[in-house]
Amino acid sequence: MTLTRRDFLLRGGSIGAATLALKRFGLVNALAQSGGYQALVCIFLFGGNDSNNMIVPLDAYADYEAVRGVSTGLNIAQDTLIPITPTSAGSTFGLHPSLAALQPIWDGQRMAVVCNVGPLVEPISRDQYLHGGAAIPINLFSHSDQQGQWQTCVSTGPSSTGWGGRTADRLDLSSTFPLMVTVAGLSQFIAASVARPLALTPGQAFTLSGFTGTYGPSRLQAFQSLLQMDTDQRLVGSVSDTTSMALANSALLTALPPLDTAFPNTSLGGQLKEVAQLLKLNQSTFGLPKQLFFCSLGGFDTHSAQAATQASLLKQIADAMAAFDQATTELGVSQQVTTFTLSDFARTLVPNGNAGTDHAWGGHHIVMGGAVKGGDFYGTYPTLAPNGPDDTDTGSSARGRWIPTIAVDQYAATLASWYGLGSADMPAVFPNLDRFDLPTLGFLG
Amino acid sequence: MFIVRVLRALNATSDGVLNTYSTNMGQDVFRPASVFNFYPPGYRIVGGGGLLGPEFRLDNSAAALARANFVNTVVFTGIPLSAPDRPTGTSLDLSRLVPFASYPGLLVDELCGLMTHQSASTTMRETIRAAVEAVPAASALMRVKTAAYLIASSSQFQVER
Repeated sequence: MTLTRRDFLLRGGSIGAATLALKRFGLVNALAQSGGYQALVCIFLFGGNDSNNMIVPLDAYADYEAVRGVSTGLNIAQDTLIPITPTSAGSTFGLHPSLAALQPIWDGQRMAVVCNVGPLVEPISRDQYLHGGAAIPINLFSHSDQQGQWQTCVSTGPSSTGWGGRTADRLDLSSTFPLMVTVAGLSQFIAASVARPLALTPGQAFTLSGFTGTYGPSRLQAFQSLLQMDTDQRLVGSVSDTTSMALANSALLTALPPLDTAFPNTSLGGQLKEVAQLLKLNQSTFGLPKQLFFCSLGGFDTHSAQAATQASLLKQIADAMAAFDQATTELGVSQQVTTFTLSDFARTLVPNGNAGTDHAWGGHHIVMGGAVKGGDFYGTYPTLAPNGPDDTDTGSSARGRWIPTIAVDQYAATLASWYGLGSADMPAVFPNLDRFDLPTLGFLG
Repeated sequence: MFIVRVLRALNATSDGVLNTYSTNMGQDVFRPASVFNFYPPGYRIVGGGGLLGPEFRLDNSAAALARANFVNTVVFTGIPLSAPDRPTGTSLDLSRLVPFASYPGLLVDELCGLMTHQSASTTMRETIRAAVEAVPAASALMRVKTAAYLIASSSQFQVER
């Protein structure tokens, strides 16, 4: 049986409240069987992940070593890299050894790497970058601007909404539970015009405390009444709306269901565990056909002593993602859940004087899930040469900052398209997408 | 800052060991996630017709409950000391307000003046007064705590002026 979202809503609205939960469970199963359910899980790596050390060319290791030799303190020894052979790349690469937990997922073809992605206004060559002829994103190499551009797909100025939020606005289901959930605070990615994200703190009870005892009920009644007042004052109204949303949903989240899968006791592990539990709760209770999650991990701004810091962060990512991959299998939704990374930018290939690296532009990103056409690279891996064909810099002091060959818009549109965003809605969510020859990259299907 | 405003307005004694509470509200004090501090200058409030409200980036559903729960803790129980890391804990001395308890309207006016710069509407005051009056006059401190909780957890108090 195939159900469209419209069918689902019509059925949901036509049945009595008393039977809704049971019926909904049945519908969820039907949607799961038909592939109707889908979730996107965003992991933002704040600070700018040095993807030059995340994916290292093994066949062209000499190019890498020429710049990042042992003396730099940043070298990833060739024999420690985890070899992977992307189907279409024709050469061998190595994953950072801290990503060991992702190797089985790569081998199982549930993981792909998208190479040299970054914010773009339009396609741009090195010649155009150096001599004009194509627009560049504003404030390149700046954390706050590039974080915004990755999350909004607007590279020409500020945007009050993100591509996740705009996508949610167009799929808004007016359901009993919010489509968007963040386990890492609010972000531009999930900022929307209409849809409000629910924010949860992983591992913490989502409940309003107090109101016990003789006078609790009257005080609770007053607390709730106050939330309805002075809403014409927009700032006051906004705070009240947020609190009301929290109250409305806290009753639904009194106990998150247990999972068989064990998650690492880390920040990202806790976040992805919470996401997995919400996937499970959705199956049993909410029945949303779509869910969108935001997670994040900070600390990637490695201007000094990068090696140990990044190794620890990458291990945290890999271990948490591997557990999440296992959890989606446990829940039977591996095909329906796609996880992906975003980050401010990649970092200079040429180290600075503090065994660290500085802000750059295009970088490599991980996409994971059963629907991913995995075991492969998408896009073109850059030539690891300062002052080479992909570098923004020239001359002997060139640092190796790669000019992206894939726009964030294309990367994001591929995810959103798989997620069910129709072609008619694409221009509103990705206003610059038509400037690129390939609107989507084919890594999902 | 919300925590400091609550504690100052309600005559608190505190050792300042409150970072777990502020972190739950989205501000791990002295440890912002980036050099750009806790929120971007261009953040616009949701449903605000484009109104800028940078601090509202911290106002999410988890933080909303955390703020109300913090008020509940300090008003009704206090934070007990726990040597050596919490040398005094955090407690309120509301004795100055207890004489107002027999006059709920005056109690609410006093606290609204102190905490909302008289911006609380008549309806809001009436609602709080009714909740105060639901507590018998003999439970004077509970009346004060009821008013203090409802004002400190209100949206009017949370929007700084």
